[in-house]
Amino acid sequence: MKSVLITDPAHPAAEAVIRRLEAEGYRVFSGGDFSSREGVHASIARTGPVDALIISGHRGDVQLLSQGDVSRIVRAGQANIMEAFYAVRHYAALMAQRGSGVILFLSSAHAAKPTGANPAYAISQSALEMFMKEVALDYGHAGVRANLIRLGPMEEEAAEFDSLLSPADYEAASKSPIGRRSTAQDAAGMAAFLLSPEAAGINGAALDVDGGLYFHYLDRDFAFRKEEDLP
Amino acid sequence: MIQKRIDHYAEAFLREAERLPSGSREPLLKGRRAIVTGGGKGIGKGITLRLAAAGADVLICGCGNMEMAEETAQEARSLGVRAKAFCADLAREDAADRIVQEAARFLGGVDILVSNAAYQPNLDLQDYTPERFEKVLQINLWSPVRLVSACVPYLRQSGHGRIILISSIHGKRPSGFDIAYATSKGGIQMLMREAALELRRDEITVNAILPGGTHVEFKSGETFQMPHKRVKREREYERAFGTGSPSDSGNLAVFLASDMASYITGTSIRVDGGIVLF
Repeated sequence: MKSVLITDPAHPAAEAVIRRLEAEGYRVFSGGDFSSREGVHASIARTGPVDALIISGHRGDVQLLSQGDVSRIVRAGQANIMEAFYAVRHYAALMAQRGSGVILFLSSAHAAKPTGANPAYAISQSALEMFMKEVALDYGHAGVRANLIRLGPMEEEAAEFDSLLSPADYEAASKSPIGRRSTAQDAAGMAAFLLSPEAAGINGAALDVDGGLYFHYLDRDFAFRKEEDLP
Repeated sequence: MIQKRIDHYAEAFLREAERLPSGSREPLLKGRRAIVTGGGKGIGKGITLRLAAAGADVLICGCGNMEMAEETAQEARSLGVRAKAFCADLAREDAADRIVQEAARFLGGVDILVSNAAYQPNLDLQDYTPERFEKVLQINLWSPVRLVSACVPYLRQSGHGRIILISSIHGKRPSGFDIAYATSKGGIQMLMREAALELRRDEITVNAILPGGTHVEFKSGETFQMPHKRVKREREYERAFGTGSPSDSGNLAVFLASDMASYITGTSIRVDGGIVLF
């Protein structure tokens, strides 16, 4: 039986990924302390080497760079990056010893698109995208692949990306070319594919799973929300 | 050699300034007040001297080699501007506030922030301790976040607010040189976009410069040698595409800081001679 560890099961997309992988026969481990050496050592003692590692760190802080306490932005962003550092550094070494493994970052469209609301989240996801690419470059020769999913605005998601500065996520369903927001099932399907042998040639990719929303999010309803607002 | 090239660019730029549409004969950035972190050496020195040649007063922030920072400040002053070297360790959380307070005291405000200082140990993932990895992030990513935040009140007052973040081509494409450095530069790309989005309403522009291989001469006359297993491949690239000078990034910084670039924000520009096309 193949095994997978997902670092943070609390996110709706992570929950769907867990259900999907369990249905496909994976032994799924979830959660753990990835904020210290001791924490990741305890995780490895619990899980042993795994076939796949899914990084799902979604800490954020809803405040702008020019307002509030910048230290909160730093703490949230740093936690997302360092969690990935601890988990990948230790589990990738085990995968390389075995000559196979898949590392997947369950990330967000906001790894490439600014939020105007939650810079801690976007900055850390953008940083993790480069982290993923370096891992893909360095560990590909050892049979370990790394990729990242940029999931678009979700039906299930809270309003932590509501922004007075950016219309990107506003009425996303009507602006998306496919006429709906992204779903947790979209993420689960992509994750299952990327973990499968069919994706053996995909390494170092950041894949948009957003229905094409950000191709042209500006050209629909925003900023004239009502007929009477039209010039 | 490098100094001659900088002087050449400085003279050319001042000649160009004489042909501005406004007819102004003043240097492009006359009276503007700039912070340049890591401005005493390497790419930072090139930026400092180009800003100074364009008329900007400069606070040079250094840490490891204050002697070079002092010498660069002296070179800048010889160009007719105010310049001062200031010691601040960007690994410390209070560095950003100290720098901005010093800029307010010495320069009387801030019009241009150039976040350039960086730390690059050139290690693989397995060779990084958590502490070293965190230090790279603190200097290369979180100190720019803190600097941007601390500078905003002054940049709002400026009317010409400019933030220029020095990233790297390693923030766009993996290189295998240094995973922490690349991670931090990937974060800088989004800091640039978030800040550009947020500060657009204040008429503050935010852009990133992505230098490629840059030829840097130290006091000893030695050039930078990358102590890494992939150095041979990098040298092959450099033979194909050449190596930039610090003033290449400096020239772009002057343009982005000028009124000519007032409608350019939220973008990153490579200064790499096309090396990523290789």
